[in-house]
Amino acid sequence: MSEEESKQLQTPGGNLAPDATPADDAGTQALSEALRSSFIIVRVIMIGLVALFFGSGFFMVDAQHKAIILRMGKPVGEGEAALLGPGLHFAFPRPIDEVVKIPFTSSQTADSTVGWYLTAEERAKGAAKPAPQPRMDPAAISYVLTGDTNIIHVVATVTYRISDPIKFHFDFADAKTLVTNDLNNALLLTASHFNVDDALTLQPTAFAAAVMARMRELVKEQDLGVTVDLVSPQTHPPLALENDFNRVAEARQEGPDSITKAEIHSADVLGNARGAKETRIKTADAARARMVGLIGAEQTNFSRLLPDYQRDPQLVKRLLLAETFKKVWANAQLTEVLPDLDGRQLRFHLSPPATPIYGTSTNQ
Amino acid sequence: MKRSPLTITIAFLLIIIFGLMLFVFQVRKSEVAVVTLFGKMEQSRIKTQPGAYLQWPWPIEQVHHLDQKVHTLEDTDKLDSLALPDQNIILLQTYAGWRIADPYKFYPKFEEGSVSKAEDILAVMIRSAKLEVAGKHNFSDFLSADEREMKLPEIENEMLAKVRDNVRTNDCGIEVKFVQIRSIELPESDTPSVFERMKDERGKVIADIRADALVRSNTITAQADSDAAKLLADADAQAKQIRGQGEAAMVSSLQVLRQDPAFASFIMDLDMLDELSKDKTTWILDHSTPGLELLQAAKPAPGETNASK
Repeated sequence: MSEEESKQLQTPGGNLAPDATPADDAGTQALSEALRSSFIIVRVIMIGLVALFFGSGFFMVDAQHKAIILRMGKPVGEGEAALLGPGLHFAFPRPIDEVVKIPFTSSQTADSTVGWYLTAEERAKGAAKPAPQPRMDPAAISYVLTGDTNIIHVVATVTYRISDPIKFHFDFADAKTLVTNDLNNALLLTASHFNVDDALTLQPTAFAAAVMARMRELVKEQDLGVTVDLVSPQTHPPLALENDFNRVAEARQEGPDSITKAEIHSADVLGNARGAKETRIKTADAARARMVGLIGAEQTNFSRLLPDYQRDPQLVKRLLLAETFKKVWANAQLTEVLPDLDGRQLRFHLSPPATPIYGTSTNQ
Repeated sequence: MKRSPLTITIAFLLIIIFGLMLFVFQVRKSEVAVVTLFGKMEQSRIKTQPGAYLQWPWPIEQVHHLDQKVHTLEDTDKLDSLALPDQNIILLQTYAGWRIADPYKFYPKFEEGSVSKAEDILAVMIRSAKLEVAGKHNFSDFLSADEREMKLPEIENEMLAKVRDNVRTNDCGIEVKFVQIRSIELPESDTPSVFERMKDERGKVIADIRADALVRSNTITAQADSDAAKLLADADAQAKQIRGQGEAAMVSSLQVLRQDPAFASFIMDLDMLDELSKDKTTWILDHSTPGLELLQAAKPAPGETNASK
């Protein structure tokens, strides 16, 4: 019985109709109360459902994720604007909106999965190098071939940013795997036109640049929605030939050493020669100055004495000689005036002081 | 019974929500929806654009969502060998990107639009393309130290064209976006000979490096010696020239000295004597030396030794 029907059973004064029995009254009242309670419960449930419906629209995004709201299947916003950052957000519940949370860090990385002697899992676990084998089993170990048909190992990590998250997450089923495969392709393609020595030791920078260029070309062609920031490849000779390649590296080191020694020798020789040249020129300069100075002095002296000499040559000569001898004797360490030897032999001990020994000449 | 507006609003909202859930379906970006009417598919019932669409509830209509993203199909058989025209054998792995281009053709072809079934068929097509393209290229086309001669990108494009042809022939509603090579390796039996060759080449490289270093260091040393000799020769020439200038100055002064050459010679002799006596010198003189004639008068008697200083 509805509330309306139960009300109709009552008089305006609130008393029961004359034909209603007291037992009926009690039953009707109880039923009425029960129905009233049920309506309240239903109403509460309905309010709860509506609240739940709208309340389910609130969602949290953590620091490692971003969210995109699809409204009737279409992303709300474009490019960066479509991304909702960390925090509390609201979207209409399904089927109006749908929230897609995507893992997002400002910089993503991917490791190559071909070309190295360890698998990606082994590398992650820090596994040791496998023992060198005289042959390469492709099922067990990976490598790349260089342009000069040699075998090398190569591994790389690419660092990239998701520049268009909508393309990255909605246009590709597994964009991360695709980035990894593109890196594999870039390593393979680059190695295939590098010589083994260039790839391993001589041109590592050019090798890395070529891998990076190929990576960028691929992600652009595939319209992956990422920007490649850095590719850091690492190359290694086959483990079985590691010692042979090390010997080449040592020889490359020795080469510059011997050239450096030659350059040092060259610098020494040239330095000495320059010094000798300078000395010889200075000596010659000094000799010239001495000659010029000497002759100048001679001229002056000659011109000064000539008139006197012309008047009395013997006297002037004698005078000059005496003056010179005075100076000579004054500077002498030892002056020995020989007596008349009179047929005797004269011998000197040359070690100082020179002392004459006079003896009888055997020749005379 | 009195109806509150809140109750009516809530009831209305609930009806709308349930109505939406029952009669409306969404097609997300990157999805297509194939709607079947009593299990029958029609081209007009395929929804390719994202948005909300009306539907009759099950079992009248049924909506099948297909993922239209680009899927990556990796060639997992590492030991798949290809024989080249020059008798070489290579192991070549690829990866390809593909997507559902035509759901109307794709859905019935692959058992309710099964992606894995489609990839099984596509893998066969890629393998066929690999065989066909590899059959046209020698080993040198895959590897070249000269980037301009490298044909790998061309080979990839040829494989892509072949796969697209196969897909077109099969009319299976797939679009192949790209086919790229993932790895090129050699059969295990070929690697020992490659190692031997590499080992020999390393020996040659070491010999070349050492010979080159020797030649270069010898060249540097010889050049330095030559330059040094040139410098010294140059120094000698300059010194000679400078001394010549001094001698020329001396000769020019002869005009003055020629007035009395004997006296000039006498003065120069005296100067020379003066120069000689500048260091501590031991002189042994005869008593007939000019100025010492006086000593002649004091000649000692025979048998008597006399030395004067």
